[in-house]
Amino acid sequence: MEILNGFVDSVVGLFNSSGLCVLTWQNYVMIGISIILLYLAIKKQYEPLLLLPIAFGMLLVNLYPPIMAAPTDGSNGGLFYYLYQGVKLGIYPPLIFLGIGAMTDFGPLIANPKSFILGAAAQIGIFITFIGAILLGFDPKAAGSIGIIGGADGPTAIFVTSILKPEFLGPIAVAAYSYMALVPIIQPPIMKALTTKKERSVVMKQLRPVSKLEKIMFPVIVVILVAIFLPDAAPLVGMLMLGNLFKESGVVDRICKAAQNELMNIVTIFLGVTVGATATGEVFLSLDTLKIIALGLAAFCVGTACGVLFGKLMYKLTGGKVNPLIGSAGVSAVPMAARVAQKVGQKENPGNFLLMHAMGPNVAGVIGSAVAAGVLISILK
Amino acid sequence: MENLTLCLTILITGFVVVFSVLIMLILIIKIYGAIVSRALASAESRKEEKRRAELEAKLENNRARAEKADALQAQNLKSSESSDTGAQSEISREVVAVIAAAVASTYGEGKAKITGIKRSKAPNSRPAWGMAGVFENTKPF
Repeated sequence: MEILNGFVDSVVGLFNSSGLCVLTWQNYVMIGISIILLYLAIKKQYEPLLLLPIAFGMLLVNLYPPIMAAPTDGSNGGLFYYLYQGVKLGIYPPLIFLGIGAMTDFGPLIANPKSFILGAAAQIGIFITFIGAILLGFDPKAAGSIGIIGGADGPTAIFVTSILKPEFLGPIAVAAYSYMALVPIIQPPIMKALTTKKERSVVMKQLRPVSKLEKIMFPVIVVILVAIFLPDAAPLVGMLMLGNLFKESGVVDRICKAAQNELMNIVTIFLGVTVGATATGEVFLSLDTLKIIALGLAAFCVGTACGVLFGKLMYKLTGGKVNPLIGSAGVSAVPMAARVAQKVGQKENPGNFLLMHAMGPNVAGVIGSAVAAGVLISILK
Repeated sequence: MENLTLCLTILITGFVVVFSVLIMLILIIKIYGAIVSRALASAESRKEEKRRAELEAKLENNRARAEKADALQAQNLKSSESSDTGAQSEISREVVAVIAAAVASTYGEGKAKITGIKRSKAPNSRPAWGMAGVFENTKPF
C-alpha cells in the first residue's frame, strides 16, 4: 500500500511539474509561432542560419522556461542564462562582425568610394523610424532600438538593443532577421516604383582594379577615423575591420579561416538560440511587439527608398552613369540586398551585371549602420 | 515638446554625423587611392624599364633566329590560306600560334592541320570568354 501511495505521489508530482500544468496559453501560442518560423527556415530557407536557431531557442524557452532562469541561492540557473550573457554584455555582435569582416571584400567600395553616399542614404530610415516610434508612444531608448532595424543588420540591431532596451531584444531580433530574409520580397516593388525603365537599364562602367596595398590600408584607416570620431561604434567597426585585415593581409590565414568559419558558426549558434529564448510568451505577445514589427517594416522600406532616391540623384549628377538600383543595396543585408539589385537590373537588361557595383553600397551600409548605431548609443544611453 | 526636440536632435545629428563620417572616408580613400596608384605606377615603370633593357639585350641575340622562324611561318601560312583571306589577315601570328597549340593539344601533335582561321562575329559587344566568365561568377546569385 505504501509503495502504491509513493507511486501515485510521484506521478502526481511529475504531472504538476510538467509543461501541461506549468505552461500558460501564451507559451502555447509562442510554440506555434516558433514552429512556423522553423518551417520558414527549413522549407523556405529564409535566413536559415539564424532563423533556425532563433526559432528553436524560442520553442525551447516556451516549453521549459527555467532554461533562461537566473541563478538563485538554491539553483545554478538555466543553460541559456549563461549563454545569453554574451548578448547582454555585447560580446556576440562584435564577434559576428569579426567573421563578416573576414569574409567581406571591400574592393568594390574602394574602387568606387562614392558608394559610401548610398550606404549613408539608406540609414535615413533609421532616424525617421525613430520619430515614428516616439509618436507611437515608445520611450526614446526603445525608439532607438526599433529604428536600428532599418539598418537591416542583425548584429547591429542586437548590439544597440542590448545596450538601450534589453527587454525588447526578442521582438527586435526576430523582426530584424525576418525582414532581412524578406529582402527579395520587400525591396523590388519599392525599387520599381521609384525608378524608370531607362534608369534600371543603365549599364555601369567596369570598376577599376584595386591594389593589395589599398585593401590593406582600408581597414586601418576606417577604424582610426570611426573610433576617433565615434567611439561608441568602435566595438562593431573595430572588429569588422580587424576581420578584414586578417583577410587582406594574407599573413594570418589560419586565424582568418577560424574567424570566417569556426568562430562565426559557434557565435551564430549561441546568438541565435539565446535571442530566440528571450521571446517568451509574456514578453512577445503584446501590442508593443506588433508595433515593433510594423515600425521595423516601415524602417526597412524607408531605408530602401532613400537609397534608391539618392541613387537617382547620382544618376542625374553623373549624366546617367549610375544605375539607381544599386542605392537599394545601401541597407546592409549583405549580400542579399546586392543580389536583389542584380536581379532587378537583369530583368530589364539580361546583359547587365550590377552585382559588384551593388556590393559597394552594400558593404558601405554595414559601416553606415554601425556609425548610425554609434550615434544612437552616444545620444540615448 | 521635449520629445519633438529629441526627435529633431536625433534626426539632424544622425544625418549629419553618418554623412560626414562617410564623406570623410570617401575623401581619404580617394586621396590614398591616388597616392598608392601613383606610387605603384612609378615602381612599375621602373621595373618595366629594367626589364625592357634586359629584353632588348636578349632580343638582339635572338633576332637572327626569329627572322628565320618568321619567314618559315609566313611561308606555311601562305600555303594553308583559305577563301576568307580578309578575315585571316586581321588575326595576329600570336593568336594563330595559340590556336595551333590548342588544336595540337586536343587532337595530338601532327594529327590535325589548320587550313583556315576565321573570326566569329559575336552578337554581344562583350567577348564570348568574358561573357562566359561573368555568367559563371554571377550564377550563384
